[in-house]
Amino acid sequence: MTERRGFAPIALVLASLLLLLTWLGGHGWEPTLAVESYAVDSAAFTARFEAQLAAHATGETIGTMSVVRPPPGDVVVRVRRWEFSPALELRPGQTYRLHLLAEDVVHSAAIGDAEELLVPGVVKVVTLVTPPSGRVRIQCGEYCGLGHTKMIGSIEIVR
Amino acid sequence: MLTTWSPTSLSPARRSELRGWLLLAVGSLAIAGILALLLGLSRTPGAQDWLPWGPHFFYRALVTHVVLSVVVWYLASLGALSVLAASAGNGGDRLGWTGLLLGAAGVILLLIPALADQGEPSLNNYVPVVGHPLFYVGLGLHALGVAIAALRPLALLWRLPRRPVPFAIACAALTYLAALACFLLAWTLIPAGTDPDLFNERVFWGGGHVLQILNTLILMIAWQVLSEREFGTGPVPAGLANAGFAALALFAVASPLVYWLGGDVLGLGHRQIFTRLLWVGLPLPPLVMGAGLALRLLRGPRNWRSPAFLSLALSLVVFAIGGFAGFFLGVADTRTPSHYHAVIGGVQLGLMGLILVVILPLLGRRLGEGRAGRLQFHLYGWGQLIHALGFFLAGTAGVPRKTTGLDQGLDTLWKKVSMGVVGMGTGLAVLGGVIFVWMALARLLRRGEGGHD
Repeated sequence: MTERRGFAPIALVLASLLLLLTWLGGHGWEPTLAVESYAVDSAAFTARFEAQLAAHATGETIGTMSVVRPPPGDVVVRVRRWEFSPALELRPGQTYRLHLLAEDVVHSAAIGDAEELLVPGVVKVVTLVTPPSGRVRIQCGEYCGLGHTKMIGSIEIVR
Repeated sequence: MLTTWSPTSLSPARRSELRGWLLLAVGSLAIAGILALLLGLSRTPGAQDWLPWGPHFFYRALVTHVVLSVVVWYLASLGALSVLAASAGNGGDRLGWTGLLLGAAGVILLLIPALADQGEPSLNNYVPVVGHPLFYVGLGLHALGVAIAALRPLALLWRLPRRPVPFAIACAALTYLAALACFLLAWTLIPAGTDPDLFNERVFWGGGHVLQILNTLILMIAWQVLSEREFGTGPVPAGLANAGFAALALFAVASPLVYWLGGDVLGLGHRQIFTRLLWVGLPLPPLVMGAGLALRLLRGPRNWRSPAFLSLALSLVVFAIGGFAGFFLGVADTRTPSHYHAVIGGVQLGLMGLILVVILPLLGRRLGEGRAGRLQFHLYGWGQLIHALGFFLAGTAGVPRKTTGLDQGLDTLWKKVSMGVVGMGTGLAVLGGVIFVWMALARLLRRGEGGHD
């Protein structure tokens, strides 16, 4: 009985030490978005954004945001308090490359459980293969002000 | 090895200091409770349209409620526990009173900006703030005051034989100091000119996680003391209890290392390593002690009329369910407050029991045999569970956290019913909290000692 009482505390401390080493030494536990990045001039990015709007806007809006239906390939997404703009309509089963730029402060793009930090001045390119139907949820995961929890992008899959 | 606190074991100076810390803790909870009722109503469909305040009141009230109820309440309670574990002597008395005065002055200062409608509210995690110099100075003074008081039990870390409760209080004090170190390291490492929202989030991120270890230790202290009181023995053997306390303190002490090992303090990796702390470092010790406590409760005697038994049983159930829910969180929906409110509700139930059943009688202010003592545990415990259930259901439907009114996007019946359940649970829990605060404050404010009802 005495031995059993003596073993349990040691086992608990040893298990905790092991967990501590795992914690401090652990990397890559969280899923990450496969990204490329490049620096960009804000004016140049805005010009690309406007060009995309002119070429692919559907004429509809969600709130104050224009809805855009771009072809598969590169898509420009402006990220700022508290929106991912524009609202996107994408085709199912296609590959898109979302070029995300934070324009004001640090934000993040969380898609599913994976996340990437977005720092002003640096474009992050996220490759997205669209599902057969439904919506893709893209959301800010870095606290960026009172509207942070509402900062959810609109990506709808349409045929 | 049982805890041997008695009214005669405390000097008059220590009794006065203990009463002061309790008044600070329970008084802060009283103000937080009033704010919680208003917050709950402002999120309840139908009721929210009747309230006269706009979103700015909601956010400042939310910040103030959170700081008072999950920062000041626990830290002032740590101050009270430090009185019980400090060795006798004038030096300890001076440290305690200095800490108490600073801690109280800090709370008064941090309330001023919200009451004066000044400063930008920031709903960053763990320690939300109102962006005003008085708020930061108040928070800093309060933290410093508790730190000074918490220096006293540290000698118990290496003193033999290790009795579980004093050793646990020493581990809690050490954990708190580690959290402070994280706050200070973050403050110094974050570059000047960083956006205020990001600054607040990252300053309080690491230390905020370490404070959750402190809260867990406070719950385990309550379990240990109340189990000794109710069953004549702790939930688990003393050596195992001490190992659990030490294990939690170990993670806390290692946390400041993250500021060297975890990369850029503003980076994603830094944020994620502290999230992993709660996954890896927090569950095992309370799981072991909770399992022992569950066995004790099942073996009985099960006296549902005993406030100590109710506190033990309800805190275990609410904390365990909240902890389990923590493995099913979304990114920013109401499943996060569901988890957090349940685990913190479990801690509250334990601490309420500790104060009513053990600490107030040490001051000659006993709970008595009235029904209110039992009722408050039921109302608060079941209310927190219902509240957490509603939040969890709403979160699965995508209702965002920390929002009110139209921003909640209650566009389906499921969402409306879920948030209605939240409002109902809030009402019950607040009622339980009000009874607790009433009972504790009435006894603490009474002149002289020895009375009870």
